[in-house]
Amino acid sequence: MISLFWPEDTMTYEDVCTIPEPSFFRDLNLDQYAAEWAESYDDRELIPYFYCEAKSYDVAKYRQEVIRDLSDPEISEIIDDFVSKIGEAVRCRQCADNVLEASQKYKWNTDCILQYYQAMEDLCVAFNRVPPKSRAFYALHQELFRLLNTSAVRRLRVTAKTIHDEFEKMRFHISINKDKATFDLSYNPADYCAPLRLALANTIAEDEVFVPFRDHPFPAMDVSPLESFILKQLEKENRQVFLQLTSFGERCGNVLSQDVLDLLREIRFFRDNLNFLNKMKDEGLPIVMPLLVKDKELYLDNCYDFVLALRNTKAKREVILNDIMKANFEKAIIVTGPNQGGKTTLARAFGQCFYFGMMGLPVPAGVCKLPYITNIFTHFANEEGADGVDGRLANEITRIRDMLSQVDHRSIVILNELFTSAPTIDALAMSRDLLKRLLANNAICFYVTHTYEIALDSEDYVSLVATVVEDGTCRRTYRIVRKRADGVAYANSIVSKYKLDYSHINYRLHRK
Amino acid sequence: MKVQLLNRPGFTQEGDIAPFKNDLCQDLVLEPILQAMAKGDNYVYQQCKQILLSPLTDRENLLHRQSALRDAIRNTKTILSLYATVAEVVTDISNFRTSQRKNGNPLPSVRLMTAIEQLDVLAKGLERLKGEIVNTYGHFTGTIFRDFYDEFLMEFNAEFVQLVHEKAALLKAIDEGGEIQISGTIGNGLKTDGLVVNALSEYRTKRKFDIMESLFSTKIKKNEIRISYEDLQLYRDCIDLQNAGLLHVASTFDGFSMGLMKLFNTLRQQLAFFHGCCNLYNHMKNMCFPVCFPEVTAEKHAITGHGIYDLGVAIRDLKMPMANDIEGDDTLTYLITGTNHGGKTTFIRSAAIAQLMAQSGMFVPAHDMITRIFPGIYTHFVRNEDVTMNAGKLEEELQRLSKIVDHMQAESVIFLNESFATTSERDGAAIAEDILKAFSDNEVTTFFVTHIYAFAKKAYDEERPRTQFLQAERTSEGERTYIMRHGEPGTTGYGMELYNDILDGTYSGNKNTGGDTPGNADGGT
Repeated sequence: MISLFWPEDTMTYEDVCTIPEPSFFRDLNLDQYAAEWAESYDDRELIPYFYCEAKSYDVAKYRQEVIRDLSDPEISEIIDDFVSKIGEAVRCRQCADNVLEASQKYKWNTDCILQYYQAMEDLCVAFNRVPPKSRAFYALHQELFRLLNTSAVRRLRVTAKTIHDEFEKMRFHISINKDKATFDLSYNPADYCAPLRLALANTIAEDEVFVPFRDHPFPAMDVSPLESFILKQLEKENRQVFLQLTSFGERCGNVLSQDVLDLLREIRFFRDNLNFLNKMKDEGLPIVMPLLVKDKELYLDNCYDFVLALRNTKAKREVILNDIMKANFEKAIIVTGPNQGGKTTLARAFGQCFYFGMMGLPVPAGVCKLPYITNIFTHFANEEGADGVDGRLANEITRIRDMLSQVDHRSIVILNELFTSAPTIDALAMSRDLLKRLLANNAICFYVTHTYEIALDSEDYVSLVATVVEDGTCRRTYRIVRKRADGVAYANSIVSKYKLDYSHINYRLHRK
Repeated sequence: MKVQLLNRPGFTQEGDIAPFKNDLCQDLVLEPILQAMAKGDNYVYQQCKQILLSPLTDRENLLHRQSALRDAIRNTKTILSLYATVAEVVTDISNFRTSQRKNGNPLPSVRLMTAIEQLDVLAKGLERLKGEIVNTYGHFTGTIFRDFYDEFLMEFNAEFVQLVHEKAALLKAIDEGGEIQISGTIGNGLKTDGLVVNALSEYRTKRKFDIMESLFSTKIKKNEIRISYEDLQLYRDCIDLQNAGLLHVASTFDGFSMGLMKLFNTLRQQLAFFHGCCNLYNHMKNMCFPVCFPEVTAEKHAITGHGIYDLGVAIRDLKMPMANDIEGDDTLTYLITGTNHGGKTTFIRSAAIAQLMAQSGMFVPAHDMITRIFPGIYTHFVRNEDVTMNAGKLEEELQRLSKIVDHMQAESVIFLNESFATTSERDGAAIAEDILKAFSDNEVTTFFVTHIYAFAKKAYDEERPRTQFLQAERTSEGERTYIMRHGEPGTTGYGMELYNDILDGTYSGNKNTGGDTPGNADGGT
């Protein structure tokens, strides 16, 4: 079966549901992302897909292709159309499962069959016109084309269509007033509203010819007493058609395949995530498709913590954008600076970019070049669950040992405030040793720490410093800049913080 | 129909070129101007504010607006009465809507009636406006208002107004009870589908003694099957179906009512601006303030004009302030230095107001003016008189400027008043140097009032190209004339004079000059 997640070794939704939440998920506040996302699309059943990390460069690329296709307005329209049509078929099938009357059951199923294959055919036709570029959608196109051309499916569709058309021909007319209501078969196509609409169109002129009722008088899926009355009258006239429906219904069961339903879930997952992330653009914040590279060069321009940004934009608070850059030869990024300077937020932004990147999704940044990775390891200082100082340190070191055994050259390791319960001198020594071990495994390290001395250890370390500027009202701002870990003249730092030096202004004005 | 008094057909404003509206309003002291436009009408105030603070980049549209405005000013009386009529109609409609919302009833039949009554209110409003337009036909000489009149009369011809009347009347009659004919088909899952209302007709309930008629009407025709009302479930279903049909009919009027309401609202919005402009123009004329329509060139002509004055202060103080001339030539940067309370702020404010008004399609406070269209108009004024070294102030200032740069395009215009003075002179000079160079390299026209002597002097000594050095003039007796003169930046220590003045007791405040220090001294806001 075709999956948007994996080019091969696909997993069913049932299998996906057994994947545990990755350990970094909570540290990076991705659980909050998933919850917010699920709430806004009312779609909690898709949450397990968040745990499907791409475990190779090819898989990540494969997903990126899907997202690129979905970002193409034409393809995305085609896919939306497919999803809504299949959804309609699914709805018909659910009705068939739930209604009481047998003939209605059969009719719902017939309608389901028609719409299900029609949706596939429409997709194939549309893809002929606008061929998708991703491997996944290409394969889907091939697969559906093959299915539609099997003789079984062809025969099924012909019968269903015949029945459907016969029913569509049936007509009735009802007249209602205070004293009586009457029924007859003299269908009248005249629409009382049409001439009215035409006359009034003077100022509106945007209406179609036939406008259906906005609210169906009998919205339930079961027929109402009046509808049942109408059907009885129609059956007298069309006995043959009703018999045909019954015999087809008895022969033919549910045609919806689990594979297609799984695929639909995957489409929804990618499409809705793409939309959810892109919504941030309306707030003026960047979202970009990352360039995944095989070396270790990293370029994150204007990145931010997406979850915090969701909250801040709701509260009309400013979202701080930061740049993180690392050359191929540079091994670790050390973030130092005062408390509450936005360091943890930056660590989350950094981790989120990698996570979204490996999922094939766009990332919360302006420009993004990411080394592809297959593992994310995080360690965020955890105040709770600490049984005494010794317990906490021991706990920490144990977790680090477990982590070390898995870290490889395709890993990023995000460490936030390690060894805070040890004396500074010890913490420094332990940190240095840990970094050495991690770097020996060629992992990319992102280390948030109080001990700025580490940043000075090697030329291969990128030093980022949180600049905290207070304006007298104790408000802090959270721009983090690349510089040596020590103090620099105040005015300069805020000029560069606001990107108001000559070259920045020049660039900013040129860009438009 | 589209109301195209304010904007030319097919016009769309691309982006907001003056996104910092509150800053503009506060820095340029626009409040007295807006008050003079509104003359107490809050709606006019809001519209004028919105339009004045949304300058145009489309020259064709700007000329369209200028031409409509000229015609409007010639016909001030007509504009006033048109606006009054439209405003009354809109008020009637919104009053009706509020009352409906209060006794909101979800019954479909009631919703239908609401739609009909609303239609009635609208139809009456339409007639009133039509009467007004017929009465003032021929007043306007320009094509813009005339085209609008013609289009309106064609669109809402006698036949149409009659039809709306009839339909509203017929539907009102159904209030007494009617008959509904509905046809339908069978859709998915054997549910009814494709429902269509064939007819609505009046149907009178039978009086008891009229037995014959009653018998006749309840008789069933051939091929008809009676749906028994004795079966309560069937009866309820029939009522549901009837209500759904009625609601469907009601919804047909929704679009029309909304379209008509939109027309009234748009008309009111646009007339409000012309109304406000007429008020302001006449006020200026009455006060003998110079006023002219500027020439807005398609070329990159620098702001040039004679007798440009600060309109906000003029209206506030009820007298003509000192006016200045600007000879733009190819100047990109104006460095304005000199004595305190010498009219520097007034000077750049007058230039900014004139440009803003010109680019909104309005007349300007000047004897004559020729200018261009800037792709952005920004102000950056120091927010507090207390211009001392203060960390937070510089931060706030730069943050504000950074937001401006986020929006700014090359070739915009920016008015800087005492920027970067909240840090040491050395730092301030360095910052100013960088920023102004970046601006001028990107063809941004900059008016910069500054006390950073080191910066101004250096620029002067280097004979920077395309830069004018202006100074608040002072006579040899030390008297201020509030006129800008070309010359070398002076060394007048900032605040020193003021300090001495205050100690000597000669300080009289700056109420008469328009003030040098925005924010607190310009009590007009």
